Amino acid sequence: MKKYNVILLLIDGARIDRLFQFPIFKKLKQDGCFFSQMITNAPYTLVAMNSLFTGMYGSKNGINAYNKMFQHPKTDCKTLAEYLTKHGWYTRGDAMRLSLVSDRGFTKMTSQEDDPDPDFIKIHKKILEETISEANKQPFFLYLHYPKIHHSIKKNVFDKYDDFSNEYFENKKNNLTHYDTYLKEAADYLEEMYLKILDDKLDTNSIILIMADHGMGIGEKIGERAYGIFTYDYSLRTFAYFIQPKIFSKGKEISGLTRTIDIMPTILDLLEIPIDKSCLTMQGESLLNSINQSTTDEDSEFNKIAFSETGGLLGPWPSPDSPNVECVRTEKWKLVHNLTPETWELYNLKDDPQETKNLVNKYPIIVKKLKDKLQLIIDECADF
Amino acid sequence: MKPNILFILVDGLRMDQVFGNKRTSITPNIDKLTKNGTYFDQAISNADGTVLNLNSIFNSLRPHKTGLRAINLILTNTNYVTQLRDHGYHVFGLVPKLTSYSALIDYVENDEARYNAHPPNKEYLWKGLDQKAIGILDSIKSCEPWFFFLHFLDLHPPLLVDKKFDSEKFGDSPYARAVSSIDYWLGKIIEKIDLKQTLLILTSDHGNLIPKDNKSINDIAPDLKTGLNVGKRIMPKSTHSVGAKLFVATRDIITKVKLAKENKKLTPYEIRSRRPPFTLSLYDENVRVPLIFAGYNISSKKISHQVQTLDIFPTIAEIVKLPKKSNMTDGRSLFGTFGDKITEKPAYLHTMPYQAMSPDDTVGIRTSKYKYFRYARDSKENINLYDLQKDPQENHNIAKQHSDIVKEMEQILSKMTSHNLEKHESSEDENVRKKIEEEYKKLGYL
Repeated sequence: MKKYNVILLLIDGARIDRLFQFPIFKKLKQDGCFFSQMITNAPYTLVAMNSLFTGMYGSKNGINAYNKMFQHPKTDCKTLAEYLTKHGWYTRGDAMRLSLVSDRGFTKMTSQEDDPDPDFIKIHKKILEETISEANKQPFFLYLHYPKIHHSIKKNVFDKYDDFSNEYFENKKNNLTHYDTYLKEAADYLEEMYLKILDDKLDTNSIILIMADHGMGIGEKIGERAYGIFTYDYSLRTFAYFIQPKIFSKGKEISGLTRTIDIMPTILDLLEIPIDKSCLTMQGESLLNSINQSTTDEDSEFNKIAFSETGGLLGPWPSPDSPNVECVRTEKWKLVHNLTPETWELYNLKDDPQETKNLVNKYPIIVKKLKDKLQLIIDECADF
Repeated sequence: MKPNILFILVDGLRMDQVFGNKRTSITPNIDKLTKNGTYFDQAISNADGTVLNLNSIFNSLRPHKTGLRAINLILTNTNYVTQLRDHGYHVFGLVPKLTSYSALIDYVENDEARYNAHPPNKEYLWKGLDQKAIGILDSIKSCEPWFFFLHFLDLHPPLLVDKKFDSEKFGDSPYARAVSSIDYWLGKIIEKIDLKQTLLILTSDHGNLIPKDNKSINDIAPDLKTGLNVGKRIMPKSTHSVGAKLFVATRDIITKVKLAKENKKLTPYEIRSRRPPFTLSLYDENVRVPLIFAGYNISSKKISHQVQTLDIFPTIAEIVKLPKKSNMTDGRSLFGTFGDKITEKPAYLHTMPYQAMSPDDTVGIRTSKYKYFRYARDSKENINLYDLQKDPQENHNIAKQHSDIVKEMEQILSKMTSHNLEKHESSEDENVRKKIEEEYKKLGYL
């Protein structure tokens, strides 16, 4: 077993296409391995985080809808924190809200949800210091969730507009400018935290993981102000940095399709922690193989599939009890099934990354292939 | 010792295909159950689709209370499976392998509880599914009392009839022949149980369309394949895409003309019968289902009063003597009425799924006298009223002539829907709901 610390810095709602205007994101890329096509299984924190920490889709671990707040994944799931605690790690988290992620397995989980204006740089630096001290030379797992982009979206978007407000959807440029200011603040936070980690020489014995739980819309599609309602790439496509000089080559970019459910199996693989076969099987796969593969085989287009699901709280067809939008995605194709109006959408993501041309009637064979993949995953989620 | 409970649900089984003189299927085993048990020939499912109606059955709640957009089985805190389990029942199941069944799977004790529901490997009773059921029955003998829920999809499209039953002798339609086949295999399952110690329920989740003269819209549409193949051979490749579009458009026009010609001779009921499967509909062919209670000293009786599938579990609860629940369900026990005259209650009806965008989303009320329904989102649109006693096939919409009855039915409907969910929840549920709502506000979602 390899006793690296694991430090997860999670930037809620960070858009991958806006990162590189800020030097810290370039610096992180130089220092580690950057996964640039990582797909989240749900475009909102609750389901995304519980999936991240169980290595499986929400429809398998039980947390697959907004109304599943405050719940834990099924008892048969073993969470990342449970694995690590069992094998001698000290586990500590600071969540966005305690309703949004299960604390199962964590030695200590807090949230700054009652603080009206938390200074995350100060607070998280302090938590990092406390963690080092409380771990008392054990390895530790620290999960720090930076939620301020969401706070700004709440104040400037959710509180002002609904999912159909003309004023909002007609001002995308403006919305993007505002968004960049929120991301700038996140970049400042990240820079400070990363410097602190380097100053404390934690990079020598830690795997540093920096990622987002989901992206963020700025009014691309009427019916969704920001996220949680549809499954378009602006909210599904995210990223992850893995930094540990002894394991990951510096400056490497993995541009192939990966999934946030692959993160947990990757960490367990890196730490050489054996998988507990008595628990529900994870659906994610370790990414260590893809790090070593240099190119993607053309034929493998349909081999790796990312599945995502959501059911909006608002929007055109709310479904807070169970997901009613499902999608499967390859590097090139995305098939979306909107269960409520019972419609299908197919996009060629290479030619049409904005997902504006629905090709569902044009490529029946691709649609059939992807529908079969979708059904397989749905059936797999129902397997116990 | 409490009796065992065998609950058989045959997806899409119509009442008129198993009871009465008009059926052409051969069903000796179901006949035996109706002869020896109590059967209801006016049982109404509260929705025209599986999930909504299962939610109604398991929770004994009208669909609008379990979530009209539900795509999964939802077992509320007051569902009957939990109640049975809490009172010593071992729960077993044999259900289609669909995500929508996850909630029930959490309860069942047997491993092989799910079977393939999708072609090409869809499992039918006649293709060995009976053996799975019998295998489970054999394995649970030592786990009494048990509750065993079986859901069969033999009548669900694609309808594939067992060759042994695919002749006129067994029915005048593929559907009727499939019913004959189902009866045969159900007989094999039922003979494995001791009916003295077992309460048997046979019912369905909704009805089905049986195309007039076995001609569905697909049979009327001209076959394009030959034309397309010839076209592909003789025309240059650059014209294929346009050519195919032209072919499809031509086919649609021909279908329309042919259908209009054919339909001229047909009644509205017969025209409806040729609509595509899963067309949202609250007509009786889609909501009137068989209901039989047999075994465990259930007396022999036919009841023709209107009852609802959401009455099934309160009835089971009374027969097996579970403690009475407080008044949190919409159903009521039919047990006391097995020997007495029943007081009818209007049945709430809703199409499934409750689609925000679908214009066919319909809500209604049924009594044994009238059927009333209209668009769910606009009480003034698509108003239908049928006199079920004079016009059981619902051919003549009498809404315009009887605005007084429409008004009365609308009042019943609004009274039913005005009872919101909170009133039927336990205080614990209410607290969770409030807590979640508060959280949504804090997150800025509401």
